[in-house]
Amino acid sequence: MAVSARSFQNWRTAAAPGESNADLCRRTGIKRSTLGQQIVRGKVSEDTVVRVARAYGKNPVEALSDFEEYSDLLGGPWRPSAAELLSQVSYICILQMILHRSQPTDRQDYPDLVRFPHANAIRSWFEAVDPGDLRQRLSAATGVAPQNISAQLLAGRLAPELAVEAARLAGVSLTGGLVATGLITSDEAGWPQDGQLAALRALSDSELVFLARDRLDGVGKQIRKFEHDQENELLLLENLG
Amino acid sequence: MNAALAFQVVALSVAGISAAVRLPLAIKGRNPLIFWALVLLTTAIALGISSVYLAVDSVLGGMNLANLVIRFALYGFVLIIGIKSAAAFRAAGAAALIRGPIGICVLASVAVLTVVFFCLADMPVSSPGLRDYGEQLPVGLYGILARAYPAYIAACLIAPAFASAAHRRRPLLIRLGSGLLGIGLVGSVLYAIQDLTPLDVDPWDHFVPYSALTAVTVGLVLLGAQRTTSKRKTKNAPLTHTFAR
Repeated sequence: MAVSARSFQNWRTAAAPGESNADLCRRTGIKRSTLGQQIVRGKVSEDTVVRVARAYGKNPVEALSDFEEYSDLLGGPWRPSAAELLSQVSYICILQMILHRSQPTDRQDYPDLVRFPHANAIRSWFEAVDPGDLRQRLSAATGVAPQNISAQLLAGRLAPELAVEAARLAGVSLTGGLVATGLITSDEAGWPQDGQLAALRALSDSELVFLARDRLDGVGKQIRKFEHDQENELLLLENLG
Repeated sequence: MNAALAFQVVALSVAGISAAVRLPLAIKGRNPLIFWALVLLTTAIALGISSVYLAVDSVLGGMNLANLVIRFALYGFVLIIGIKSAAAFRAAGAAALIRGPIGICVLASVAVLTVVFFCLADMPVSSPGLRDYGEQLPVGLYGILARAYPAYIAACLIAPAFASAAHRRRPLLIRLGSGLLGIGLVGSVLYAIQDLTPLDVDPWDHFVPYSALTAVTVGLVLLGAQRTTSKRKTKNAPLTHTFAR
């Protein structure tokens, strides 16, 4: 959900001594009203902590681990599994890798992974680390209803504390979920530089193809839903608009 | 100006303005039927105002023919909106009940009976709302019919309208417009049954029908606004949505 405002205030006087709220907002780009509201409400969002950390040259993961709610972030497993790394690769890159491999040259120019941010990153990550009943266990551990968890994942997000708890339950790198939600970058999480590319290259041809098939299946369903929505919307507006 | 007249004037302005706004669009071919429906509605509401009614009725012979005009204008409005809404919300059941064999039978019977009851009544003098003749049985039945047909159409569409409003992925204007439409439809049904309650509803018995009509009209305005704005937005191919954050 968030970190307590009191801990945030203690932390920021250490991380950014002498800086007022206005200075903080100027350096991070957060709106003054937003920061003010969060402090007044007593709950500061993780996104705010990360942005302040980045603005003052601190690693966001270390910054978050200064807070009670995320104290085990640094101590826990940090190395992402191959499945996690692959879950962050978009289907475009997977297809590009297939094309690359199907050509008889041995050119070294592998697909440019950075250019294609992955809209379903958190859902793929969740499925990659899920031993089978992660949703139920996460719901039991945090008290969030399973349908709320599913709804968040479908919308392409997951609350940070849920992402960390899910990683804890699945026994994988605690920062993996935070990378997948986009809260921190893979570099900040200490993921190996070409980790995703290496994981992709390590796949056999058949594994690569089946991975592509699974991904395309998911994308196809998404697109079909979207097209269906657009069609219904058009019909409605044509008749009553 | 008392409360009842205020409701009427508000409803009339909303209906008139939305009809006027739709005129240039209708000329260009965009949904002319909705424009005509709003014209019928504006006519009906205008004739509901006593001074207008008396003036128009005297031209028509002073025998309350203007009231019959109100009735059929409202039937026309409700029919058009009903057919269009059933198509818009993909409500096959409602479409069958409104324009299928059942719907046509209901419409025909209502139209015929409306005229029959009107003729059976004895109303030699112009009277807005037929208030002076309320004790005559044909007039009473005529009044019941007048509310029953719109309520019938409305009842078929309440669920589809609210289902559209509840749809999470739809644009806000569509959800609001559908919701207001739904509220107006509920109002229409309430109006048909409000005389059965033991409460004394005068002059608030004007509030329900006029606010229902206003809600429906504003709902249509919102939907029209959404159509205008979505024409201007460029459409991305669906595939670009899947990896653009």
